[in-house]
Amino acid sequence: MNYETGRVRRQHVELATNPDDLHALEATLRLREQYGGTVTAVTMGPPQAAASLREVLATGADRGVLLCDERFAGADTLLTSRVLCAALKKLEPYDVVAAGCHSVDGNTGQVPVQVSQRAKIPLVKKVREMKLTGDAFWAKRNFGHEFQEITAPLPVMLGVDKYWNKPRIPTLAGIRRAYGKELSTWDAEELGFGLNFNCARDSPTRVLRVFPLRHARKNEVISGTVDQQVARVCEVLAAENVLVKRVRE
Amino acid sequence: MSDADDWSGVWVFGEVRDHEEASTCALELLTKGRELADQLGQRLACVTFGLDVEQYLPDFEAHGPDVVYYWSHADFKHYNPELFVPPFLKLVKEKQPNVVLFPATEAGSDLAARLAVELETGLTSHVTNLELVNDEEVGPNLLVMDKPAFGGNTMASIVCPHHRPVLVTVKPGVFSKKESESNRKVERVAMPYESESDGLVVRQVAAPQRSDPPTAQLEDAPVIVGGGQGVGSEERWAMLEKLAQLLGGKVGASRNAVFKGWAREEQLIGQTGVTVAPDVYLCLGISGQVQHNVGVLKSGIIIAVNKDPKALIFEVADYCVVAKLEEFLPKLLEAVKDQTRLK
Repeated sequence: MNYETGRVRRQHVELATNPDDLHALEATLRLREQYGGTVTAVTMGPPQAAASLREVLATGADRGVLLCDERFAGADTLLTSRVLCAALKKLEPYDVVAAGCHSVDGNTGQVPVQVSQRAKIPLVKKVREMKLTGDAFWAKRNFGHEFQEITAPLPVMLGVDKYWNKPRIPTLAGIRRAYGKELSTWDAEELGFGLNFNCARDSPTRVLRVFPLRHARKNEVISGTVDQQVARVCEVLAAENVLVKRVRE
Repeated sequence: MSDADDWSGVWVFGEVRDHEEASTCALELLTKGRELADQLGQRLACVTFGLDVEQYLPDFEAHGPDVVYYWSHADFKHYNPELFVPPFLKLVKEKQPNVVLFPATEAGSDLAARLAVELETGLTSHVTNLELVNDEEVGPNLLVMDKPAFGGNTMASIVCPHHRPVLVTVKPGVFSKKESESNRKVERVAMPYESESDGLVVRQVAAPQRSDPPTAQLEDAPVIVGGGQGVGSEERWAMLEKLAQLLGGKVGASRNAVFKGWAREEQLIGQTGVTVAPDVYLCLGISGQVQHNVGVLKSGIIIAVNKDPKALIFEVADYCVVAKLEEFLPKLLEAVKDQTRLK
């Protein structure tokens, strides 16, 4: 974390593929098994993200695209959605886009929704069953407090979470094959952005400051043997009327 | 784009929950919105949609808006982005509000994110505090939105200095609701609407069934036992659940415990989970990352148990127990069993 700019110092942090995205990958691999087609993995990140893409290729994706440019750094979700949608445009035609619902860094959950709105493709989450038929999509899904049966024309976007499936792990053969697969890097120019494009500057939101959470509490230390600690905690619970009240019927 | 200063008004998305009630979070946001609007010298509006939505208006009106814009139609019985986004967007472009607050629920978060794209403006989600400050660089009355940053004990203050409207989502329980004491006359504006449901991209092919999303009912629990990675195993997690049951409490979890599959997503306590306010929060094996801690600050008392004396959770605890859970938890469980048996 860079406390001056309030941004994450990604070059010093070990990068890993977002867990929900592995479930998204698994969803596309199963669709390919059922219906044929090709799976393209797209990631926006610093150069080290290529390693993550290689892993995804080893797991079974057919090709990888890394969206990488200094000018993408510092993007909030709005700018991220602009970059991702520019990549989607270049990847047309496509039938299904799968994205993980939640990320372990920012966890706003906004990116799939914003890509859906910008690219004008419906986002479908919490799917129990689904089918592709010709150029249409059918599914049973949870939406709010309803369980619905829906159809929509392709392309659709799937918002995948960890309850959907169990992701496969790469095999040795898969790892070897990965090195023969195409991994392209697209920068801002390649995506059609002008020389003036700058995510850090153009993001509507920015960090004003960072500060430590301050919350004053008693901080009374309960020390001693484990038995003594347990006894004291029970005293505290009794004082709060938590233990005494709970009478076994 | 017109000048940010031309945009005026604090709006709240008045979500109607399950076509049954005005959402509590919307009432909390109206209360906070009233405060912000008064400081800004601007109007507070509630924007709501529903089937026979007139029945929910009194609840919204009791919490301080100057005006309520509403759409009442069967199309709005249930949230649908294809139906909600266009009219909301049209009204925003026409009235140019400064700030729009949304409950960080499934519907509110989705609606806010889509409006942000259409308006090419900033959205800050899951904020834990809102304040107006006078900034040297940007000017007076800059809305500052606090939220946990990337980990450790760090919070970040986010601003959206130039783009309007400023969009914000807030989880239930972050702010408190309070009925307005003033005898303010609320203007009701019924919005004209012609059904768009024929042109929907996503269509339902059968009647939907009711299926409520699971909830751990943590919001009103007087006692919560929270577990984290330190609980260590499924067997010990079962002990934690038994302990909670004996104490008449509910079980909450940190993100790690949910990740490990010991607890469900709806049991997650914290910034992107549930904000809780029990009388007693007993917190076992949770390290106390800021995203978790912001969700428990309203607890009456916090008792934290962790083997690491430097765990961040101890900074926000009333009672700090440095102990290994493999020793402490079984003993606490036995002691509690004994105590309840006595009475």
